[in-house]
Amino acid sequence: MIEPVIVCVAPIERRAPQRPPLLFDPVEVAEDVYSCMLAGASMVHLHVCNREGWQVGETDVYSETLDEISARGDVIIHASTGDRSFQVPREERCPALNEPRTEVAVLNMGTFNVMDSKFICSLSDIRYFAQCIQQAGVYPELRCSDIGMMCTADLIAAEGLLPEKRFYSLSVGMPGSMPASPDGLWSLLRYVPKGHLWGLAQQHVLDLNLATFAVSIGATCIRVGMETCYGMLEQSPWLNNVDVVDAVVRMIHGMGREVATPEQARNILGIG
Amino acid sequence: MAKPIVIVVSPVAENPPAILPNPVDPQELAEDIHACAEQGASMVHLHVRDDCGQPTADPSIFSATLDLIRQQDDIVIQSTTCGPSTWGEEDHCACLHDPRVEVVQLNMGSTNIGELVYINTRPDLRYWAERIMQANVRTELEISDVSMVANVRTLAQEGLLPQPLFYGFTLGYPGIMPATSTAVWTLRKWIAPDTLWGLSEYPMRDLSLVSFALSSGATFVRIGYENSYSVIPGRPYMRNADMVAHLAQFIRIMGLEVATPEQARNILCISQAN
Repeated sequence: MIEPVIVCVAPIERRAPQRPPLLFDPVEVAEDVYSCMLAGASMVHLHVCNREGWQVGETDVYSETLDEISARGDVIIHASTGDRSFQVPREERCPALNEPRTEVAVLNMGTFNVMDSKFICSLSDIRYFAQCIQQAGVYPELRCSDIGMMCTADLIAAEGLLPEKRFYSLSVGMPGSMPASPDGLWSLLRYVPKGHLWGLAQQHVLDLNLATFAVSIGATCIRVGMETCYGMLEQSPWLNNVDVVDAVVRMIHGMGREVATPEQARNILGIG
Repeated sequence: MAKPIVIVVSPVAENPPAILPNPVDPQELAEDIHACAEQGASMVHLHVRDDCGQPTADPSIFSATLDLIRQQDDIVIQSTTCGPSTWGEEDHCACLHDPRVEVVQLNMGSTNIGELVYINTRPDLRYWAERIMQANVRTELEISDVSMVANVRTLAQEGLLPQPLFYGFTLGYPGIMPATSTAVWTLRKWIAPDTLWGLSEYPMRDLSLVSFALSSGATFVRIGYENSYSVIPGRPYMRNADMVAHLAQFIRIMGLEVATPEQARNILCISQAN
């Protein structure tokens, strides 16, 4: 049987300096996420933020957001661990792991340029975060935006730092990363070992061409939402999270495939 | 006429074992390079070290080495903007101060390399590319992953990279693309057809990947202590010149030619040495 596809929503637009924050209040976030869940999302990607949207070490607002979400329904909680990479030591960079309801956490697999800036994650950082995620009993999503990172996953897997079934997030489309094109995705896919899972986390999403390509060649998970429209919201054909989740779900159904429930998604990932 | 292949020798090892006759002192280095040139190396990828063997941006040591090399050899001089992250922007450009430098390597992005982090942000790349253009030096685009080819496109669109482009594929360290035929093939598909490219493999154990690269169209190959201490399985250590001779012999067996420095300048569109 062909497995259903997990739709993950990353609902919160990152703070661009010229824009006011859109959505940070726990109740507002939960309402928005709930609409996406009704539309077919089974996973939500969140950052640990305060009420103003700034990334912080304290998890009170994050926990309150999870309270509000779980009061409305079941969804897999998927957290970022790459936040505040320049501001705080690495020991303080994964607050989401202190919240026991976090089920999946992003594990960044290397250093790369992000537009005119950079994101630093040395091999030693990767090992450290992998251990933290392991100790917290959380499932890592291996964030790879280039082929070297795919090979780094093999390296740390050999050191026993990754689960038996790996879940890659192919993060394409940010300037400095692998281009968001079928060729880019194809190049990365050559390095996903047989029997492991992968999903698409495209940045600057303006249409569903690459998501369609990804599902058609076996993606387990597609991430969409306002976070992936960074700097391009004006050109986005979707005005909000529900619209884009709905569009992806229609695309998946149109192909004759099913969209995973949270329970099916946990089974596919082998968690919970 | 057979296609000439440029052999680039990288004679200086990074952390050599004591047993290795690693040339560091300018006189030793010039003699080592002369021996390599005699065996067919037409370009030298030159790093210089200070008295303690540490990498240095000191232009006087670099120029003193070039004085000695030029007494005997016409070999093409290549240097790099790459250096320890502790260096300032000007240190990275130190290689541009000597007009005898003909080719400069520009690392096209940020990445982990082994346990180290190499930062080359887009603004860094723009700055170095402009400095290299002003110095009228040829740029070798050092590529160790696909995103870096995309960065080349961005800089080329901004007019910061003179045509024709030429790419050096650096493969094999943890954190970058592996030294495999699949990786070479992938990068080759990402660059425009008919673009010049070459290979620098770490660690280079034998000539298997080099032979794949040459048979799929590479124009240059790097060899020397910076890449490995030997290229013949079973022999732990070789001299730089013996490795160059081994590669030159293989190139001829393939039916290709070994380029002279003059041919290398023509092939890579390098303006005549000063």
